Amino acid sequence: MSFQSIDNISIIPINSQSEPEAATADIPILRLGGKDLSELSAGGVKVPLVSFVLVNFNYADFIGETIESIKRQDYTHFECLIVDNGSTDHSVSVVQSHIGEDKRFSLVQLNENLGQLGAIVWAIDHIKGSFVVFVDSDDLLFPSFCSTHIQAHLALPESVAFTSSNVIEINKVGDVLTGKYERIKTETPNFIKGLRPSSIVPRLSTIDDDTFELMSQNSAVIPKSEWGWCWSPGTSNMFRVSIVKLLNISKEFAIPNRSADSYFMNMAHVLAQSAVIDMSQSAYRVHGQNYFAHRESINSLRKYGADYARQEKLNNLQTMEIILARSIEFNWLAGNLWNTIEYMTKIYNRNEMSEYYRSAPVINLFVKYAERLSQSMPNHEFYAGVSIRFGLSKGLKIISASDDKHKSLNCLNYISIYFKKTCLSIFKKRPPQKQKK
Amino acid sequence: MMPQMKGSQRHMDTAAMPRLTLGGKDLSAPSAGCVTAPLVSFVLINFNYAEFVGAAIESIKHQDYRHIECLVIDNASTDSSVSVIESHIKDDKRFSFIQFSENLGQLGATNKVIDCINGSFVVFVDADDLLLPSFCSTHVQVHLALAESVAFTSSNLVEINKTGDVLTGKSSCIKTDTPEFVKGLRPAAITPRLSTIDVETYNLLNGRCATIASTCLGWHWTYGTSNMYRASIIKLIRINDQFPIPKRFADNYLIPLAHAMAKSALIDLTLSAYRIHGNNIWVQRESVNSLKNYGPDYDAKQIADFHMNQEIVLSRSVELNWLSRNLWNLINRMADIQNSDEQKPYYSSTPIIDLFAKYASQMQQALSPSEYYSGIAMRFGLWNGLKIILSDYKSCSIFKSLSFVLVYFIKIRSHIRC
Repeated sequence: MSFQSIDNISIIPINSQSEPEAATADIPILRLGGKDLSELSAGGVKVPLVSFVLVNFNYADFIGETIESIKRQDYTHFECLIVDNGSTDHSVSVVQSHIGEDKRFSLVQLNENLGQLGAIVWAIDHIKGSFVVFVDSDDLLFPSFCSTHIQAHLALPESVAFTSSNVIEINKVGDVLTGKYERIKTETPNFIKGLRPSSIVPRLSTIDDDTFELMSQNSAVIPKSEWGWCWSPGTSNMFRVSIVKLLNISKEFAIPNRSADSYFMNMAHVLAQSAVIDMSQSAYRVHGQNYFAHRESINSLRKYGADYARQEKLNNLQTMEIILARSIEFNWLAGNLWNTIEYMTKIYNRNEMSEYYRSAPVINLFVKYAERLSQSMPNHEFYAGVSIRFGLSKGLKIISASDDKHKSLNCLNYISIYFKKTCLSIFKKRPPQKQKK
Repeated sequence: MMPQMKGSQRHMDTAAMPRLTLGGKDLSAPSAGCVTAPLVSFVLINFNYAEFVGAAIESIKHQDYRHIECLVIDNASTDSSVSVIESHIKDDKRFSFIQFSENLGQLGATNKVIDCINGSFVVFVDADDLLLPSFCSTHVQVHLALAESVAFTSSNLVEINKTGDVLTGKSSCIKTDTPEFVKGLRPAAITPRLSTIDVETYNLLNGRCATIASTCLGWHWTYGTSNMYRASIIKLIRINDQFPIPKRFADNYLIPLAHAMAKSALIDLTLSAYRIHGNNIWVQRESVNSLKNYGPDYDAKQIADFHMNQEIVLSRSVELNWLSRNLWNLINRMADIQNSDEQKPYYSSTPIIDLFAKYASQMQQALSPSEYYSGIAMRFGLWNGLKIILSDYKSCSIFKSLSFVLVYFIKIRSHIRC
């Protein structure tokens, strides 16, 4: 265990941290067709290191149990970076006493609160694993959490950015409130269900055949085209580190004041897909002071307040700025940038959507990044996308900001495309004429 | 520049030779006709991968298929690769070591050593990858058991990082369930069976192999290491020494051309490990199906690579059309076109028109007039088509252009009728 306070978050690395040392004896084994993969490759292929990032703010009551639940993982090959986000209670001493001599854990204390996302953005540059879990310090992991997620990542029919497992909801003292999270579903028709056959995938020694079979029945890859939240919150997700690093927020952007899961999960899903495992692998605590949830989840009832929704709208705008600023890169990597944009508005109904594109801050944002947007995709896609969303006059404002040299030509072009689109849509709206028999 | 050969001639360790059986009888026994399991050549080309090349050599040594030779080539590394390679080969007689004094690029090095290969099958191993022990057995078994013999077989892999941590359980490229592919192997009872592949594994293989027809477009294979070619096909598509080879990857040449000439097959079993270490030329992160894992500079390089492929095909039109019976299919494949939308921009670009004009006489010799004129008419249209037809201006140009115009309008008419 190491301990360090840092003054300037962006500069000081935590280099006093010793290398994560797992007890080599109980590291799980990967098998391929029944044979030890590590032996087959003379030690060249190993089980991946998993990083837990545990961000804590004044949860001294709960964090001890959380640390113990990480210690009890049957997948022992992990490191855990605990970031105390400027707590004012006795969290730090609780953390220290629970870490004890376990070399896999390290603690960093921030002297001011960076927000959950801010602390995670900082931590991402300091993890060594290939997979990462952002653990909320009021939640609990079950011992098979890590094994289940790693097995899913290695056995899903398509490799995805992150996997999400189900939870049970508990209260302050640990009483079980629900057996599942309401958003998790695997029966949706366009989900790709199941895992690849056990005989051909790398199999973890901590997941036995029955469990693998059960996982196979309860897992599904969610295609990009699926909109809306269909995962469990924060703790119950395991990301690929490469994707999290790709999406990490660089210093040029303001860090949205939002939870880490609503930034990383939505972005990761719309760019690189996700998967669900409908098996409860952690406990989500509803204790009355949660940022998001006011009560346990009941399918037909909102559990968050109106102020949360207002704050989210503002946050969405900051996220949109990140997307637009990186539009060239994102459109190259994942294609279909308009889909990414639409998805990250997090608006699911048509009227709200048109209202969204008519609001001044949104238009200003698109004007600011018009040049990059136009460079990221072919002209006709750009014009068509703008014309559908912004209409004629607002659209022209964006188009004219995209290229100073050919302003008038571009505008003419845009107008012609706009009218073509409108004519087409009028044409399409006309009811089909009945054919005489 | 002459490659220096180190190490001695190929050597056979007869005791550990893999045996072939047919209907349960040993084919290598004198009574059965002295048929032996084929020699497999590994070509390991290394450039500054001292950190990884040792593990790659060891993984070749540990193949359960013992009848191999391995040419290790150092492509003028500037790090400690040479001493690492020498210490790992030691006195294993199956290995030989060639040092180049100048870096030839991967394709250049591949092309240079093709003549030194003794094996009937060949694997080009990347120095940062690893093979699992059953790699060679499985590929040879599939080559011998497929319903139709193919130019090469491509197997699945796990992706690992610098230190060997597993990142994914599969590559996103291999998809054996595509409807156009022909699945399966011939029945075990009637194919030559390798002693290193047991019945259970054979049955598993049978369900996880697929043959791809040579007319299928698109990229269906894993990269470099995980492919085993027939040496005869590799020798056939070897690039003429007069042709200047830029520094580029071997995959982008060997795979599409070998496939278009003589088909390929997929094996959806993990037989090797592909390393993502941060300095890979293309790959920036592990493959996630819906996200590219390479940067935007890829496009320009890809276009240059396939442009060169097209030139090689056109310059050998006569020979390749005789062999494959379908020159236009080779041309389509080298155009690297995935769908009909991409066809128009490709064939209307000036470098491509110039290229076809340059090799017009070869194409004309290779194809019958109707195939030649209609192929050009469909791709290039009237004006650019005429330009290509007339570039070979030596003989009867008026007659030629008239017949081309005639073919063009016949095509258009039949197109309209359709």
